[in-house]
Amino acid sequence: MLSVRNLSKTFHLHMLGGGPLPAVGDVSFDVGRGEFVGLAGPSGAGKSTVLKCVHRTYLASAGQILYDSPSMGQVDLASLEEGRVIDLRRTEIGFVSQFLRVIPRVGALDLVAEPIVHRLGTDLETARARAAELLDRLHIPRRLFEAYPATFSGGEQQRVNIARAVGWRPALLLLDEPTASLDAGSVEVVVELLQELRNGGATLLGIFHDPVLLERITDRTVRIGGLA
Amino acid sequence: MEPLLRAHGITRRYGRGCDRCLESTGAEAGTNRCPHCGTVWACRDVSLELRAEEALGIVGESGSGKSTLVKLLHFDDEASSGFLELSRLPSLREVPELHAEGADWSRNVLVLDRYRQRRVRDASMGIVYQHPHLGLRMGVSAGGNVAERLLSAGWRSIGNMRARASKLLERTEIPLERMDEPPRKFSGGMQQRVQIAKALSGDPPILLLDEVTTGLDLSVQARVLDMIRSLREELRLSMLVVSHDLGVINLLCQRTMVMKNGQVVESGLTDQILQDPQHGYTQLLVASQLQ
Repeated sequence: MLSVRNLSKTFHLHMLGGGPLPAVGDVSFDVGRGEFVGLAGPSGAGKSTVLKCVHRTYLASAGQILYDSPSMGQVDLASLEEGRVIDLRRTEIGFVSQFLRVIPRVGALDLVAEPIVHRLGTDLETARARAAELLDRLHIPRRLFEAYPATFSGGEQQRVNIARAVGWRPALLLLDEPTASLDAGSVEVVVELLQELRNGGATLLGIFHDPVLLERITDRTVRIGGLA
Repeated sequence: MEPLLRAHGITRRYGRGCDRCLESTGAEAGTNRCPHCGTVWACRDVSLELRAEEALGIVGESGSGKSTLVKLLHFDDEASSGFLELSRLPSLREVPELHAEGADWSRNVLVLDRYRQRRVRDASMGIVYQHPHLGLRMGVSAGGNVAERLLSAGWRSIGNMRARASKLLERTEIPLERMDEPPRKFSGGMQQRVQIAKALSGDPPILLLDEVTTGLDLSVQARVLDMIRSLREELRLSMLVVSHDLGVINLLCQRTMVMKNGQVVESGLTDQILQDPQHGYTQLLVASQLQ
């Protein structure tokens, strides 16, 4: 499904003279269709960098990120034309981090329902029903459904974020520490939701700071070693 | 999504130009005015593509050429050179000889006569300016402002125009009892909303927004932005969003172009531009943003 080959990412910060700041060098690994692969490695090794390169939030400096798209066939996400990256993000590839990217003045329920409407073409009522079901399972109180998540606690924001990420059932979901500040009970629900997503055929690639969770939730891990 | 509009090599210069202009102006030179001949290159060799239901952001500081670019695309100003082509939009069917037989793209609309440019514009785009007095007649009633645009698009029945105007103004949350008042009596936020109603009157697929929330109070700005977001959804608009505010761009646009001294220095997905900016100027811009 995903084949990362000799991926390198180097930043050039012009304010610091523009000299190279290498983040990851020569990373290669494969993720099979329907597999759940975790990225492991010490803090600062570049795990998030790899994930962001796959999502194209970062531009790869070298290497290929081959993705077998159900709709487009094999494409290289490192160099794919922007318009098609947008199409893939709209229809197949999701990204969830520990930080909720709130849309100002959109309530929690609609925040979760929005991608279900847009990406699956579901009508608003059905999408809101599905969103409500997800938020219920994640123990977001119903009285908060119409409230703006910008005012929520960190843990509540993360749960809304996860509901938003899994609700539209992406074919490939990238996870950057989505459970970083969740209590044990919520983590269990997240594990369940991710498992259901996989049962539906999705492929997952993620970073989890908790090694026990990482071991339990993924099929295998790829070690990102940092730079020599 | 299908491309709707594509522009290539759009240039606007004020002055005759000389053979040292190229090397002496632009982002690298740090100025858009040639020190040798005094020519100002407001917009130099800009290319872009806008796709259906896409919002493309254009950021840059004052004088970067972003507003000039939008004015050129809207035929408010005349390009010195360049190509602007439109796809076979259903609304353009009535403009004669715009598309050659079998061609996906129109002729270069930048070189059409004024009459046909106006028809192309009325059928394909609406614009909202930073300064309401550019888009509105401040002394004519709000309803009259919308009707004027409809008249130019060929509407003739007063009753129909009034019905359409009140529908649009209602949608942009202008109280109907104020429809007969002139915009000069309105607040800044209301004036922008009348501009939006006017811009959408001809049901254009493309909306051009030139710093539409600059200078508004935060709460007023929020209301205008929310309205633009919901109209985009409802009407499946494509938008070109000019702003110096990265927050506005981040909220509305999937792709972003960064301009400096009349040139595009960088373009990419908006999250990439914000998190992994490549050009030194973009890095400075991102680092300068208030969190």
